[in-house]
Amino acid sequence: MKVKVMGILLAASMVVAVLGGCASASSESVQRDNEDQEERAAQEREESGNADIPTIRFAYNWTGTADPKNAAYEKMITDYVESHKDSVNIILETASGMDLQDKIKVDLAAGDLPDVFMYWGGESNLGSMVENGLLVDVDTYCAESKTIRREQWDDSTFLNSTLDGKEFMFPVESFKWFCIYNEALFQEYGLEIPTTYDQLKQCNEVFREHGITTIGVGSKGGDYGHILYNQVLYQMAGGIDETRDLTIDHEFASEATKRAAEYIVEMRDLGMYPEDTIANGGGENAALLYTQSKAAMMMCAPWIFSSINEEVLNTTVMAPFPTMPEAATVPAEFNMGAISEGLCITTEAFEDPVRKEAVIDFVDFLLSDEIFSALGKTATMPAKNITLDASELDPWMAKAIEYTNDKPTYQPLWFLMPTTDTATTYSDGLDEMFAGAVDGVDFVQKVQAAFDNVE
Amino acid sequence: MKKRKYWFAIAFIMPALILYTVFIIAPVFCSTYYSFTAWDGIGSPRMNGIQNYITVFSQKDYWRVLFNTLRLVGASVFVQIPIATVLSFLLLRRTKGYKVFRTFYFIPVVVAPIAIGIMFSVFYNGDAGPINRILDMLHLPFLKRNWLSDVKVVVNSVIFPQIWQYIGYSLVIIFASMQSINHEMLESADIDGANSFQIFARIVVPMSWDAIVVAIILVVTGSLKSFDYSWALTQGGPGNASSFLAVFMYKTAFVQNKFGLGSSITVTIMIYSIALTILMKRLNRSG
Repeated sequence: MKVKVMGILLAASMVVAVLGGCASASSESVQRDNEDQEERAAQEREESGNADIPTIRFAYNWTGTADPKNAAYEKMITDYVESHKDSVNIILETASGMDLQDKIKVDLAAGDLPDVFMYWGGESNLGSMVENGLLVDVDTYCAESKTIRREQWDDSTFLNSTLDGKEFMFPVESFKWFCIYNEALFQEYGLEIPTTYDQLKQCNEVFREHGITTIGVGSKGGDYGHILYNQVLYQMAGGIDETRDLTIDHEFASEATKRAAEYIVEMRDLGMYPEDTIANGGGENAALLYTQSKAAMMMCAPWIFSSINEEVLNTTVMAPFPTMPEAATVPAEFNMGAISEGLCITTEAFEDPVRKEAVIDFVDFLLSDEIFSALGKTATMPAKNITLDASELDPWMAKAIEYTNDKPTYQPLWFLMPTTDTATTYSDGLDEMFAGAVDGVDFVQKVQAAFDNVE
Repeated sequence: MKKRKYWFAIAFIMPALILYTVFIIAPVFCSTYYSFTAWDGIGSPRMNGIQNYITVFSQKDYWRVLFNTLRLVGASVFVQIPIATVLSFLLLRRTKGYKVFRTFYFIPVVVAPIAIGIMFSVFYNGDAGPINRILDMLHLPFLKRNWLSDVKVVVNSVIFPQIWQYIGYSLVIIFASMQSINHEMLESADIDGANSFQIFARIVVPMSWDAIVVAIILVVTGSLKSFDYSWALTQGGPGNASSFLAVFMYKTAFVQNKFGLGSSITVTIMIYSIALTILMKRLNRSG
């Protein structure tokens, strides 16, 4: 009898739990989940002492005080939340750096997407959300907004958030990549900053003799080896044109991609990169050798300046990457850059009559000139068209803006990857190529195979 | 009276039973269900039979990652457990200040693996890290490696910190068991002229064998779900050269948004865990 009752209880609790856990798969249960969320929000409102005000959730990754950008951004947001607490209950959900991507994916799988969130562009990131009608497009939002207009951004800033002719993310942070050189190191060894590949090879011989890495670029998760690869690729004939349609024609393997991969391998074999490309790859270690004067040059973006010590920064100059022998486009004639992060608004929150007004007010604030101006003072390139006071800008930021101005900007290939599978294969392949585990041909074939598998 | 007692017991068991069912048992069933579906994390999963398993087993990377995981399991069983057993024995023999040693051995266990991973990523840096510099200073440059980029050594580089960290964990389990051995028996062996090795091999290890098996089961199942070090040090790279099954599952499910396929990898991890646990229990019984 005892065993029977225990068995029944155990089975019952398991069945209830399993049904509860797995049921979120069905559309009915998605609706149920939404009802649960609303109940939860109502409960939160009651708990906060004001049952009438709407609750909205905002997820972002610029959190903490270590980075001036994060500190400034977070402070403005918390100030807004505090000053509007009588009219709206804003729940802030943070995950630092790329962890936000995991958070959003888990929320998405649980049918619990935040109402407003920062995210990355590109079809591989936004595609499935757009396909399922979860995001509000820019024009629909602007039609209801009091202050935000599409014209406040350049058309080019919407490139990596445009799907099926509509834009689904408001660009917030833009970035441009450029090459920086430690001029003092070049002078110390009697070298000129190289303008051609042959000169780069000569410099490399001298630097190697003295234990200095010529190009301080590694690759971990593709960062930031992909920038160097693209820097070479976009110089090749067809390197820019043939890759623009990657999301449509899925033709990765071309003469340009192969030739660029061969150059990357050749530079690796000549010992131009750090010995340990994984250890010196990734965002966190990008400037590790450069800041210790152990690397003579590197690819740089505005946020990397904060990782370079002042002494080295004082001897740093910006100059184009050396021109490759068969370059069809010289590096001085183009920039590489894109929108790194933008703001997404969920359809559910936008169409909810209770939350709509509060969402619009909050998003209008998040996209206001006030926010972008504050970001501009913290070595962040604002994606919105605003006039920044040069005297208030970070000096290196001002230099970067001046240096990259008035040149066409091309997106790194990573943003043109149509699926997460192709993006991952591309990043992993770069890691392997930089580490010497595969050659250029294998790399291109591997990535093309991932493109061939795209449904 | 008997019945009342019985319901009283159930009332105490139920909260734990419900929590365990909701957070452990239910997700296992859910993962199994999702492993038979094509699901990108949005909308409804679509049943696709055993297609995910066919895809998983036909991936070269899966077998490579499984091999890496088995290497980790092997290192845990044949390196970590013997070291923990020997250290436990040394502590048992009343090394002076053994409590201090025991604490020191256990300290790494309470440190977050990610923190240790970041620390080792600095040590391992082939260009700026201390390991290669020390090898240079010792005039052993031929031993220098690109610890995190060389596909021939990277798995070992990732395995080493976790073996080091969890020695203390196994030690605590095995040492607790050794402490329960009757001291008179050890003293008799001493008086009869048995040397330390004989006492260790003939008395202490056999009498602690059940605890050693428990430690082995824990390190094996822990190794099968190992994630932190591989992710913190190399993100499983270059490619998947230093990925373990859990990292491969994470990349598949959370990076590539293939939750169905990721779930099928999870199910294979679960099957390996159960199979290895049963195998070890059987071996222990027959031994």
